[in-house]
Amino acid sequence: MSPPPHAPARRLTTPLVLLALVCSFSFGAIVRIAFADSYHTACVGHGFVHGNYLDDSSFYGRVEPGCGSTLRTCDLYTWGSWDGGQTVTGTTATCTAWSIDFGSSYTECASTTHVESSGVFSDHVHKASNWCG
Amino acid sequence: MRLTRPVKLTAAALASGALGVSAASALVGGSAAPAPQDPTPVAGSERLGPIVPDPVGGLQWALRAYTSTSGGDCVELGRMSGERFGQIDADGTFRALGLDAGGTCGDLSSEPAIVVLNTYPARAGLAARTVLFGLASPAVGGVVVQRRDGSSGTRPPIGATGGFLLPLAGTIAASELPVTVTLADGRRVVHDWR
Repeated sequence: MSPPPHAPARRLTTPLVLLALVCSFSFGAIVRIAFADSYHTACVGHGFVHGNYLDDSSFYGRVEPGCGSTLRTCDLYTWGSWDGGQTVTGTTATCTAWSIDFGSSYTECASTTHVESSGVFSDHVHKASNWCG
Repeated sequence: MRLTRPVKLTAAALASGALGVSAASALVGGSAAPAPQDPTPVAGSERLGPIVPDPVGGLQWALRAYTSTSGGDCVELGRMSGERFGQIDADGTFRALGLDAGGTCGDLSSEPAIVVLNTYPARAGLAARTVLFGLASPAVGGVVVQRRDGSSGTRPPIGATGGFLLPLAGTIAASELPVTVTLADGRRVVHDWR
């Protein structure tokens, strides 16, 4: 019995759809992570938090407690230079490095926070949402 | 209307693409970040102290403790210029700070003490500092800060605010400053920064 005339096209459609799914999943993941640059939740909320405005030099590095963490670190950097930082231990304190506590006039859009939470996530960087560095 | 095969393929690819993006958004990064613990102070809840000397002769260091609107026990580290609480800018100028949401907040009903370490790099005209501070619940009888370099332990006094404060010269890693919190009933909680 000869195959139906449209069989080759159907054989092509399934891999094509699968390929599109894989590619779009990757694209979606990249987009999701890009928009999570400033502050996001990986078991606990953490990252870069702007103050009242995006450009008033008032911003925070923050790591919330939870998920079994006993040590949390949040350091601030501007133009790649270390401004200072905070480490908290125990189970309930939120690591809160406020730029104002470490000096003023930092260029907010060129600032980052380096955050870490023991047993939850390793040291990584979150940028200002209006990144210009 | 009869669709051509390329149109069908394109439609299928677009539909599967949308499905993939949705799936990735759901799986990567999880749900949207919840609001962090609210450090907004309750007006009038602030208490100042203790106030201690700077190790190399600069402005005194002080704690400002306050209760947050979410019920958190919060503490902010600062400097004193006369009767004013504030911070020193990068150029060395003192700036008074009103009560704001800049404190570090925890829950003293869940653990006996909140223990914090701030580190400040050397800047023009300002030497580097490491400041260990925190808040202790009424159940705490004392705090001892050890130095792994073998020097004897330091007992920063616990003020009426429940705050304790130990400013040190230079930048010191937290792991070099294990803290033992002794409760009034004799139990001990060791914070070894691990």
